[in-house]
Amino acid sequence: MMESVQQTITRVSQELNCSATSLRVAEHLDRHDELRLLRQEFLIPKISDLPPSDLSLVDGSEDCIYFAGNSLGLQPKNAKKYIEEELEKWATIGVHGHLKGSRPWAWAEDTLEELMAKIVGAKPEEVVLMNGLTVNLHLLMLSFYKPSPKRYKILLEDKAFPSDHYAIESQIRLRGLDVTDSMLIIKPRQGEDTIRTEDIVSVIEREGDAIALVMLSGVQYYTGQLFNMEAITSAGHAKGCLVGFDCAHAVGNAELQLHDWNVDFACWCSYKYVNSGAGGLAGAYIHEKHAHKMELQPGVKGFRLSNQPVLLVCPLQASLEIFNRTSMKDLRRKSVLLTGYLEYLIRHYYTKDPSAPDKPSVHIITPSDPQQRGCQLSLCFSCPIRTVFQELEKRGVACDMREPNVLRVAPVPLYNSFTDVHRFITALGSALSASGAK
Amino acid sequence: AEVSPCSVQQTITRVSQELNCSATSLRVAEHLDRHDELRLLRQEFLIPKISDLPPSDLSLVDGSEDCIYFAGNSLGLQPKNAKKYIEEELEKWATIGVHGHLKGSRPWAWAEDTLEELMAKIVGAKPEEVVLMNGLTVNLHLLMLSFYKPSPKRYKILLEDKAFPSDHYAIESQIRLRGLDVTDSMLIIKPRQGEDTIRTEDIVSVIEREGDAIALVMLSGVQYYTGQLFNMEAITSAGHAKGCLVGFDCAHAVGNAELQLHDWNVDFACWCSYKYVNSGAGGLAGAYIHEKHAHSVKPTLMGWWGHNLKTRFLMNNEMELQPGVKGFRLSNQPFLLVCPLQASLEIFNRTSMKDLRRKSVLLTGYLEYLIRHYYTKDPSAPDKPSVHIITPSDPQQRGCQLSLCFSCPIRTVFQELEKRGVACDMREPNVLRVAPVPLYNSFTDVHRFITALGSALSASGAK
Repeated sequence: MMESVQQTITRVSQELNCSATSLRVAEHLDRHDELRLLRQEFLIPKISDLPPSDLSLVDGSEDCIYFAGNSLGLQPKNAKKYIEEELEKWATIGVHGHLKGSRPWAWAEDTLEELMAKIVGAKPEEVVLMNGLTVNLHLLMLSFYKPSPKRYKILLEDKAFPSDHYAIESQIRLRGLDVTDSMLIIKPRQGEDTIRTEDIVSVIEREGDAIALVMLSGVQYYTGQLFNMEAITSAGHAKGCLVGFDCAHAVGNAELQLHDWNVDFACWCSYKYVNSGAGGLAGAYIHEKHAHKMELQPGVKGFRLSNQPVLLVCPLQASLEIFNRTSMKDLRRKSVLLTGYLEYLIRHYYTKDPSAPDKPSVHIITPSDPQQRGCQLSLCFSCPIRTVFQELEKRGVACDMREPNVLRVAPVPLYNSFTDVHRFITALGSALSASGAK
Repeated sequence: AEVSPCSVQQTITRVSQELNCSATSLRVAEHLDRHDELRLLRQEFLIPKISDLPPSDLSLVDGSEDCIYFAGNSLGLQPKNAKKYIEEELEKWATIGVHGHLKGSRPWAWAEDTLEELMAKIVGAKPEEVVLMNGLTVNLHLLMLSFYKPSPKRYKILLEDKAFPSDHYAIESQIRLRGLDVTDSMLIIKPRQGEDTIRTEDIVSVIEREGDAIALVMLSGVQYYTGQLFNMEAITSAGHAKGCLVGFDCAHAVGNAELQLHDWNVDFACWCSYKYVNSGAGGLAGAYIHEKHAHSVKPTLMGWWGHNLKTRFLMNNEMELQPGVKGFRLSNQPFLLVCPLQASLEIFNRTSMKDLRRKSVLLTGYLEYLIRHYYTKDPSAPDKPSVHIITPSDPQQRGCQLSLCFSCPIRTVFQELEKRGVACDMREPNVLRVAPVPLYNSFTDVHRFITALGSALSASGAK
């Protein structure tokens, strides 16, 4: 049985004979992090580089605390090198570049499909790299959403990412159906932040005969909840529904086994945890069992429309090569400890204290069960978040706020460290003081 | 005054007389280059050397010379600033990470928007009518999902024979999506028997005759195979007179022909940017919708990028759709693709489509003149290779490309041309497509091409 995060922290602080909240614990965990060298594969902004940094408050020469990889991942060092190779190719051989070189443009993205497939737990023939996420979502739904008079509903989560919500609405309208009637939106229970798997499964069992498509996110962007994709897929299939997931926040974050879980289709963007740069080449997956129901090239390969840009293949290749030096399993192991460490410290300092009601507290919206989350924690503060966020930014922290009260922080295993987490907690304490919350 | 083949001829004749040399002399080409007001734009591009191109045979040609790049209709050359701009954005990504969405000279959250004005100028539209996104076929589908609204009586799509395959497949799939029959719903117009290109009068009369059943007229702007430039204004007018909607795939027309999409009342259009607009393989594509549809034609498929920028990131899941083509956006676009496109559009902005066309008419006219001079079919020498130019000779009916149909098989000729540092395109069994583009090709390029062609034909055994 794996040691729990709490047990690990306790053991280390005892070994070091220091407090559990000491920086020495973080440094120890970093020394023993097998993946720590992967950080060197990325370009990490210095605190002095970030626009909001206040150099009277922090040392600008230090690396920033970059917990915004759930929004835009950092740049792999090889991205520039590969891009320069392709620019050089374009400059010297022009149109011949379609067929020559290490990345012939006519099929450049195909060479990455195997690396991408590993990350999502699929076979290479089940994965394609193309377009942007919402475009791919639409292409998949055009084929997988085939409503009939009895079976026409789409099940999705409350507060789905806006693009998914708009996409689903428009797909319903395209079929001439009523949006309110056809969108089956599942919410958390009253007083809860996340959606229980048992509740998703029971909605499917109850209403499944009328559900054409179950379309949830893999990891919910707002709460950070990781859905039990295997159980949901199974429940959906038991009622004859097709099941797909928007894996934008799950890819490169959670351990996915899309093929083995029998997921029908999925799509994702690559600029978050897969670090391919803003607007990077998106992905799509279709289970091989559907391969010959499609015309053209079998399966998802036949969904391609346009020739893809080699400039986007380059940073994606650089990133996938880094993933390929480890495994999602190992990344997840570190991630569970890293996020668990963050959670431990948050709880230590900011659990609501009934005897000190004016003291700022944090309610962690994200499930505490590591199986039910990725690396992100969504932190709901007892005070307004805007000034706290601004003070954090002055101190070299990059993360995300959702007004009025929420901070989303994502320490990623590929390039964040336990020391980053400890520094964040220190900065948070300062930020709360400076914002007048303490 | 408009330039006609006659006046190209007159120009060549006048120059050769002034120089006291033959019309086919290199000195004519050099003279035309010296007087080309746009010649300096060539320096804005990276031109492969002959020794760089894989098929070059350095025993036949001097590898240190610029290649003869007539493949800009397939993949345009790289603007010099593409690399600089890309490096700026990579540096930004490396130093400020997620803040790059809102900071710098190309905030990623709206980077492509800043290019819409430059792009709109090139297609003759208003900035609000143009959007940069996705790839061409994706955009074609998005537009057709909104513009192709068949009814029991009006359900056909008019397109040209031998349309670009992606267009053909796209149209087929759009028809099938509506549950209609492909054969019945695709109205394909061909050239007349024995002709290579489609007469405008024939397109117009098909529309007049069958227009009540036509939902959509969807032709290319410039036909990729023949190089024919369609009379988009007349076709749009004819279509509207019968209640049809009219759209064009401008892949080969953008940055090549002078387009006035707005004034011609074209309903919608789309294009790729990696041909004459030089943005690199797979570059950011374009879409246009006439402003008259801004509030009546809605995108069928929606995504967060069609939401009003001011409130887009509030994430309340209540769509505030931008009017017109802006609302058709789905995904956030890649800044890496904005960079080369910006570099290219800035070069276009140093001149005008009008001036580019003026040079293009002379440049392609000069090529045509030399082809005709050497390769017009000679009944008295039947074994001599000849070239039939498929592309219309009227400059109004073509862009810069000429499609040359040889009397001999083209494959070996093409290979011999490639050995001599020529980049162009072949369509077996007999056709060569060559596109001297005004932005970076010269009259000397054309003359060198003709010389290489003569050698290539000899070497291939055709002569």
